[in-house]
Amino acid sequence: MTDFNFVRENEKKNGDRNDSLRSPHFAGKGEKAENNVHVRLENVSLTYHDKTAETLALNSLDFDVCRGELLGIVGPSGCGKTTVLSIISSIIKPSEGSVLIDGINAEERRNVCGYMLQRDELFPWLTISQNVLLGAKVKHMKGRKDYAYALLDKYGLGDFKNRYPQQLSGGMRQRVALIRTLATSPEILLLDEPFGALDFQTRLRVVEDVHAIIKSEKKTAVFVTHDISEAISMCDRIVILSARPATVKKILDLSAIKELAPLERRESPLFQKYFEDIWKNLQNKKD
Amino acid sequence: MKNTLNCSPEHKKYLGKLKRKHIAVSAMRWGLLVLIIAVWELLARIGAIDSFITSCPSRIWETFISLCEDGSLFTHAGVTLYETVVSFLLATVFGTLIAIGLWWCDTLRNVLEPHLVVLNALPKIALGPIIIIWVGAGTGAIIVMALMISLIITVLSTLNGFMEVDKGKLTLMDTMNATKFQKLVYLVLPANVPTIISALKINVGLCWVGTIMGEYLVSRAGLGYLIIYGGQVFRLDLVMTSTVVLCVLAALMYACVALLEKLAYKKFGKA
Repeated sequence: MTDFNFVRENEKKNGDRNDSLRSPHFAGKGEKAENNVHVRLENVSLTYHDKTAETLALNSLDFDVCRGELLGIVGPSGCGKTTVLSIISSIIKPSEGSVLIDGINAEERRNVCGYMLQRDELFPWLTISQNVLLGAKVKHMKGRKDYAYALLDKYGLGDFKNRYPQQLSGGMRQRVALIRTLATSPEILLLDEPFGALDFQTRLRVVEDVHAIIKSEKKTAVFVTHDISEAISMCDRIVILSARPATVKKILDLSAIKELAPLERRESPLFQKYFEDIWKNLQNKKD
Repeated sequence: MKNTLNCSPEHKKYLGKLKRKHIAVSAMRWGLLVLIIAVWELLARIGAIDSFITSCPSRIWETFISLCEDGSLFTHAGVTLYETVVSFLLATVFGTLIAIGLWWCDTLRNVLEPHLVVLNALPKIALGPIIIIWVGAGTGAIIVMALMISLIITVLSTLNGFMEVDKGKLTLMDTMNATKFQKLVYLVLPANVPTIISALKINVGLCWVGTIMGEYLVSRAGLGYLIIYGGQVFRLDLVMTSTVVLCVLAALMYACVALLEKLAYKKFGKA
């Protein structure tokens, strides 16, 4: 439905942006790498309190997201992957440490984050165009209509502007949800298992779509998933978290396959190697 | 719609059967009503029942006509209708406002919830004498009475709807940095239009109960007054006529709300 080929060719024309995809951890503290850091987590820890106990959910997470990078976060279920996104978008305040966006405290940069949830959460009483513009309305952003409509047109939903969400298929609804997130022109996309509610067929297709959309709109994105193959098929780098309390176990660089589209990646010989690497890291409880 | 395009004989037969069944049911509905009226009238005419005690359809009709002619029916029905509609609107508006307040402030909700539940359980008619003393014997007391009966249940059911708004959608509003007011206007209220409408439906009935109860206790006009007065002077014709008029008015008001519900469901659907 979308023009992936066009998107991919465009990417190639832009040339190799290998630099921007390399983690500053590996690139050293060179000035160039520093400039490329878009989001930085510094020793972020979070402790929950409830009636029975206090739980350490995140234990000094320390990693960067580069500009234009699609960073994956995988980890055992319940390890606090979603919490990481909530902290980046300042919905939750970390107990310790800080999040910097463009070197500034994330709380002052809340509006640059766009969040996409597992379920589309489209409001059934609003039309597709009203749903897409909801974020802009909430953020008092004027004149987003043309941009949002252009996005709908571009990604094959132009004819559905005045329909209601119930009239769309699951995959289409998910794309509408992504466009709703994009409509406020966020610099950073936070994707929280956005394909979890879809069936496998639709999922493969939507992954392809979403990957193409993120790359063509040149967004920085943090993508949380429990699905290892999905992470490998979309991301430029993958942060592997341990079980609770979550720590960074390993950061896997996928720049060798970054030029490939999701479905092509699944056929790459490297795919299996990456899969096993992540799998092993998720399995052994202790390093 | 789809089916009428390429309709097999079997399907036509099935549709015909459905239609006949539908017609039969409505015929029986009206038939039952006519039968009851006819038997009532007949028994009264042949003297099997004492129409002084039970009245009868023809006498109800005569009373209805004479009440219409001297215009007193319109006065009484008008008074009752006014009291009911006012208390209905007040209950809806204040009930929703109070529910919004309780949704907004967690502490307030936690503090007031048990009190509301106890108030809801209390038979409000017991408050009659207090209301009369505080508000004075008149239309005001009747409206307050009807309000007491319907307000608390409106608050409780609407608040319940507010609290059950989909958590995922609230998270979505959080991710957009929505303020509490924006959450209310863009999510909680529209999501609860069906809840509020079904509260309205319950309120219609309750407000009629409240108004008639109030008129029994204090009034110089209204259908409830006519019923009580008719009972006291043993004019059963008057009692029956007022009851029938009351029945029709309540049904009409309910039908209005049901229509509103249909429109709202079309627009807001089920979340």
